[in-house]
Amino acid sequence: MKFDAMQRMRRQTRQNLRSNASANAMTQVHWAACITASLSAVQPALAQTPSDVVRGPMTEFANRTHIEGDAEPAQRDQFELITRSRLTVAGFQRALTPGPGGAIVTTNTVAPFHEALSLAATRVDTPIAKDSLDVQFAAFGQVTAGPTEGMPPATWDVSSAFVSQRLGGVTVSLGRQPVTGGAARYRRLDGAVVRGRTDFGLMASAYYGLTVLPRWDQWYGTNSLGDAYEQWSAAPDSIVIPARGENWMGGMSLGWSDERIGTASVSFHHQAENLSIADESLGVSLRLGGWSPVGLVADAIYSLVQRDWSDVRLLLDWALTRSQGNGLGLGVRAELLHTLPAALLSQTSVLSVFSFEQVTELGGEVDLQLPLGMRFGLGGFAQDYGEGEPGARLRATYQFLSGPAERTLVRLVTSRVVLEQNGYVQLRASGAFPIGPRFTAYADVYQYFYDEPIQGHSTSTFAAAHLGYAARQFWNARIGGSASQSPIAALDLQVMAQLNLEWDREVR
Amino acid sequence: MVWLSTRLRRSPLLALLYLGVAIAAALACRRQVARFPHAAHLGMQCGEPGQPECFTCLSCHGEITKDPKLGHPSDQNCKNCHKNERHMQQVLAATPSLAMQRASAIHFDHAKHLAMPGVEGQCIHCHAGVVSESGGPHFPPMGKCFSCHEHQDQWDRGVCAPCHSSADLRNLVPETFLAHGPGWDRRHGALAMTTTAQCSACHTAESCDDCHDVSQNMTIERRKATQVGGDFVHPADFLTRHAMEAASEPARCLSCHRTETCDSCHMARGVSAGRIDAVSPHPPGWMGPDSLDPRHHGRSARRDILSCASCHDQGPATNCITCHKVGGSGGNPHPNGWQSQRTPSDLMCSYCHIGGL
Repeated sequence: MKFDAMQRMRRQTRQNLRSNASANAMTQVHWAACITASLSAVQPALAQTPSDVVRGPMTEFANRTHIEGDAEPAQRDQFELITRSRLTVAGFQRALTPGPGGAIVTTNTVAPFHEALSLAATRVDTPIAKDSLDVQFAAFGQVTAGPTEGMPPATWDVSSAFVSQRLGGVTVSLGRQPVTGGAARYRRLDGAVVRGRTDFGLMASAYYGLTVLPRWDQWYGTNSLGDAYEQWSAAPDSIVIPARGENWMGGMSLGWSDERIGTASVSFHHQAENLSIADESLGVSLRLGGWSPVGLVADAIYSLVQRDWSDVRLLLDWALTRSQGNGLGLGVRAELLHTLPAALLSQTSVLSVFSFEQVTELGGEVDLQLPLGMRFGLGGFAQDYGEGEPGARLRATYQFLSGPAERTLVRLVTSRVVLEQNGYVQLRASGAFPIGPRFTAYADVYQYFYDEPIQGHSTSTFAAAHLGYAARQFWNARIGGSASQSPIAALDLQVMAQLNLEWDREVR
Repeated sequence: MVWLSTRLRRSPLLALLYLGVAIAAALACRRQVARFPHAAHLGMQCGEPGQPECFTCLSCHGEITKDPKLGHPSDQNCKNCHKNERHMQQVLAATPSLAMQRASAIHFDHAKHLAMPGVEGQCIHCHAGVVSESGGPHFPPMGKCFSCHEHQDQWDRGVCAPCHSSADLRNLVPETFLAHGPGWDRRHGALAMTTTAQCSACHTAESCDDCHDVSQNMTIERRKATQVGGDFVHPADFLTRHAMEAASEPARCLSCHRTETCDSCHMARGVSAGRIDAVSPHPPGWMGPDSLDPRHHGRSARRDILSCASCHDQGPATNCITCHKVGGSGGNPHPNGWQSQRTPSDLMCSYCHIGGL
């Protein structure tokens, strides 16, 4: 850097500091505001107060100049390869599940080995286009040592396995994958999803495929079921075994999006079970305030089968300030939820025609962030079930984060659930405490006090403690255990060891 | 408060644990990370005859123009003025910079930006507040980048490279855009459709499956037992409370579960209608003739049909049909205002409307 430029920098630094001689008496935000304001007189295009910084960049967009990204295009293929493996070994006595009529059963000691594996390669070059191919795969397997009470000792399934090819504004995905949002809510299919987007923010998507049927045939007592069910069922011959080709879904959505303003979309979902209509819905989604501290989310689903609104949600978010670092922050959220549960059942269920009772929930939460990593939250929701007495959910939270990389966590939660039949008070204390640079101790304690005793017990207690070791790269491990006392288990002890391998790297 | 103290007296173990957490919190408060006294160094008398040369940010952080990983000053910077080497090492060791860790993960050309017109080598444009010794922003928010750079296309496509490394993205938490603040678990579903590209910048489909794929036979609380700051759906001995939770928020279970999920366990535990030797969990008067009785099954069914479905959703074997079919003793089960696009010839309708009646 040239000498005169260095001198100019030094002069300006001194000038800035001297012009804010009272900085020590001012708050951090005000101090920075003075400096930035003095600079903004010289450079209006870059004028920005720290309050803009903490609120979000809505005003920044109004003032921004257009500067091209400073990245040099890579000559060779550069993509990300993500591999993750999570091996969990648990040892426990199967006592938390009750026997007939809720009775405490004789416990068995079992040790399941659960492995979840995922692989993903993103932004891979193809002959069609650069950085245009994504591949994702996730699966799990479980082997159980010990008495399994009729359950198979081993099971596995593929959660997702699909390939996505981007071409301009269009993305085509083939394979087992989720479709989310709008009328689809959350579904998984074996099929195709096509998404497109124009430069003007118009977007469209469509999907079609066979419904992913979980491997419930591997679990006893479920539909599509094995020998166990046929022995236990009162009417085994009447059970319809799902045929793969008779369970399918399709749908589409149309919308418009501008991240500075928001998003609006309509969607349609059709799903068939055993060739009968399981769901046929229209969805309407609206999100306003993309960059604004005030945001509105409206999400509604209309059941074409029941001819009524099955699920309506209104969310209003108001981030009065968005905290950076250890600053102040206040967020207010209000929510209205209206649900017709029978319409969310599969419409092949006879019970879906038995009730039109609706549930309405109204409430909100306040989140206050204070200096020194402290955070308070207070929320409450009132519920109207249409018939019977109303219900309520209340919760107060205190959270404290501290230390390097905020590795120390202390959290206290008190919540109250009020119901016509029963209710409870929950107290929870949890924390994470670093022990040196690599080890962290975790503790989590719950206590529940029931309004009406459950099987003669008025309380439940659950306590868990774990010790985690995080290597510098690639892997971390955890060991721990939990103990609980509840109305259905006099004492339940569990231990767990977990090994996580993660390898996320850019490949050049 | 009286109520709380009473409960804590009745549970001394819990009181002890709360006390331990409070002590740990107090100890953690004392372990706030010290920050380097920037203001003392930048604000001292300088530049005049007999005074030391004035500092700029680059006096100590000059190496950052060559490599972001070199932005933290070495002790050589301190040695130019300070003689107590042990003290220097203590100060440098006590002020690990989170910003420096983040800076090394961002592809950012400091030299190029500092030389730009309007910036004129002034780090304060982006690092406002860094001189504070008691908090304040450590690192410029992403909005600061967007104040100059037009990245709408990359945003639309969810492409965060090359500024971010995709590997590092998965270790970051959004603080401004798409901030996952309180209540995020209830909101994320509504945003998942319209922000799919942005979600996929950090998450793969595995992230969705990790919670929503219920066939894994291991709850999310077990899989992520050390995330003690999270509010998962099935905490502690959820089984004891699951009927209350389902009644409190009736449709929430259906976000992930089908009624077969309920029935699979109820069947095994002998409280399912489908099991031959099942034990009825219902109270006396449940099937009585008085439909106005609060314990009558009709009232409960109207209020919470999903609880009925957790055991009785057996297709043509559903025992409700026995009484509520056309001509049965149970009468018409359809509620007032009932309407449907189905016809009596539909397969499901024909369970009750035999012959299309």
